[in-house]
Amino acid sequence: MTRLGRSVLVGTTFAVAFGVLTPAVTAGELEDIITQAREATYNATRVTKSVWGNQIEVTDQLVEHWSGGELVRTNSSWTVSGNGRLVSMGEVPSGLVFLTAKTTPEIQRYEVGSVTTVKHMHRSALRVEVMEGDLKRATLIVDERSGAVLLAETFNGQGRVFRTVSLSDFKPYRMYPEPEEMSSVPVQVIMHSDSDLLPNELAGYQIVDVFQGPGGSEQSFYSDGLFGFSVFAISKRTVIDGFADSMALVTDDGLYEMVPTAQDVRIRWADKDRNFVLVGDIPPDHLEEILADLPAPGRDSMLKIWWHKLFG
Amino acid sequence: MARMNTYQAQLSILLSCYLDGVLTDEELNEVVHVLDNDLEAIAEFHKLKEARRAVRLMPMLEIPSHLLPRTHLDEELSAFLDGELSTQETPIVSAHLESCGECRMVLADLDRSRIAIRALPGVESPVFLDVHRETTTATRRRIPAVVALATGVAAVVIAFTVGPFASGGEQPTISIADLNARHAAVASVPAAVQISNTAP
Amino acid sequence: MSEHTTLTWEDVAHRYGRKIYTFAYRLTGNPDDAADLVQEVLLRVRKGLASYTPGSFEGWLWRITRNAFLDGIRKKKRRPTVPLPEGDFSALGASPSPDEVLASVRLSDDVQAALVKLPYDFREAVVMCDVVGLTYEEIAEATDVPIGTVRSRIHRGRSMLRDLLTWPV
Repeated sequence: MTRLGRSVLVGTTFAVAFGVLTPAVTAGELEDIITQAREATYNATRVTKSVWGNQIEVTDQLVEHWSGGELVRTNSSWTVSGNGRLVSMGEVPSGLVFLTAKTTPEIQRYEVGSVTTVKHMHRSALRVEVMEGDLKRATLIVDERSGAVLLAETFNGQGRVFRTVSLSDFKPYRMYPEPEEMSSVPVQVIMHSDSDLLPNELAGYQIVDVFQGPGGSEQSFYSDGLFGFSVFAISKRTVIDGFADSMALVTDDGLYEMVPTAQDVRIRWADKDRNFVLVGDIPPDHLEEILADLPAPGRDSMLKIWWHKLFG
Repeated sequence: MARMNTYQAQLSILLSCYLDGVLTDEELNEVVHVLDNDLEAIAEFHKLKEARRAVRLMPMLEIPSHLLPRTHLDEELSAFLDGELSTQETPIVSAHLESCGECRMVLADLDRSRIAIRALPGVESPVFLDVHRETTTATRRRIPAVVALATGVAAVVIAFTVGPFASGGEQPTISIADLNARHAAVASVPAAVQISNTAP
Repeated sequence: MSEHTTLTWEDVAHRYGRKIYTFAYRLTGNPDDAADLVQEVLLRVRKGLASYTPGSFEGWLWRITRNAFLDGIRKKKRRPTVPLPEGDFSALGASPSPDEVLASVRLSDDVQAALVKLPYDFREAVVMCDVVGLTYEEIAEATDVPIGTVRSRIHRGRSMLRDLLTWPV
């Protein structure tokens, strides 16, 4: 059920400016909330639970979070991430540094709804509702002193909770210097790519940058300021591991392979030219819209054949 | 370590406490002042920080399962599914589920029936049944579950064990873990902070 | 603390078992001692939970853990505490090993080996702080010493550790 040690986990984080109690503040202020959350410094156990169809995915991690980065410990490994870098001491130690001059786009589609003061884990906190039009997209319980999000619930398009991220054993710390990179791990530098294979905008998500991917593939990273995903376009010759226990996701456009985890969802499909893999922390209704705007699974793909064999 | 006077010894302790964020405001000011001005203190601080990190980076060990009691969860599981657990209960239940396969299976069963009940008026239900029956006979493979996506709208999700992409041969291979790590790294770029775009 | 009054000992076992096990392993470098300790602590928690009076639960639990640990050491002829390679517990040892993997495994072993060389009080303070994640207050409560002593023990433990370890450049 859980995929501890296999998944790398950097969820979207949030924080809040102290004393923001005026209801219906604008998206500009939500950005401040999120930016300040990245600055929060704390240690905690983070439990992430996601509901995908009939599958519940849960992970439980020890997290050390500081300005812009975090260290996550799992059973047998740890991962440090931040500022476009990631160093992981898992089964295969690895380091990645992404070179980009671009930043996450401004938040346009979300606004802060009601803000109330609450007590959470004996701490003073703000309960912030994040609205996407009339839909409540998230509820955040934000620690007043540290700005950390103690509890985040994300809702699907039908207003049901599909992900809960909660901190326990929460220990806020004062600022201390960011740990240096681990020198024992070799680091791979990932360059920017000029490709324009995929559109600049997908279902309200803006493309941030495109990078060279493994084995001649390319990675397009999209964000709406709150959630984000990457689409990897990969040669058809390449085998993509990690979908052995996948589920099938069927939309109007065709059949996709899907591996849901507590923190994110991974999707794989192929059109006549390429394999595609999408990885991101996006809500299910956004996922459907995004897939609808991406190249559809090819008619000649084995998936289609399989599907037609079953259903005519 | 060379013999230090009392003040230096005290200061040295404060450096360690600074790493743990447990200083009073007064002590914090003192440490910050010293770290701004004293090269030896900075070197000492970095060494302490390395020692602290070395211990913190050691992995949490898995407890042998026979040491844990074999009691199981009950009504907590339904509350868990419905998101009705208190914030105190959630970590306990999650921790139990991590170590207990039996409860995970009960949870999956509960969730299946819960979703089936919730999906009753929807259009997917008859499709489920047909899909399930047909795939079972057509492929002779056990299909673990048939469900609607959480949003439900126009999507149906079927679990299957062998993906149609799976194939052998000499082809190059990319693992989803690698792709996931790349996404995580890129997603950790903060808004409005730029990283140098020149190669080292 | 009211949040813990409804805990059963099974809850404690599932929630803290791994931490207790890791705590003991890091202190001794010995998996058998760690397993014995978990069993003993859970037994004591089972007996003690009914009479547990509100206070810091962490402090209470770790005081029990510490006392059980010290009692265990007193009773037992000390076994050699040669640490097992980390690979026995993590996936690191099992995977094909490029030099970096080996280096990282050795690093973790080195830290474990250095830890068990520290005097007990310092080792305990460092492990409680950096492995278990207790606050200084909780450590003071669990070990029954003033907070100033906790500060100095953690610091001296780290200082010694850093002298015992040689850092990769």
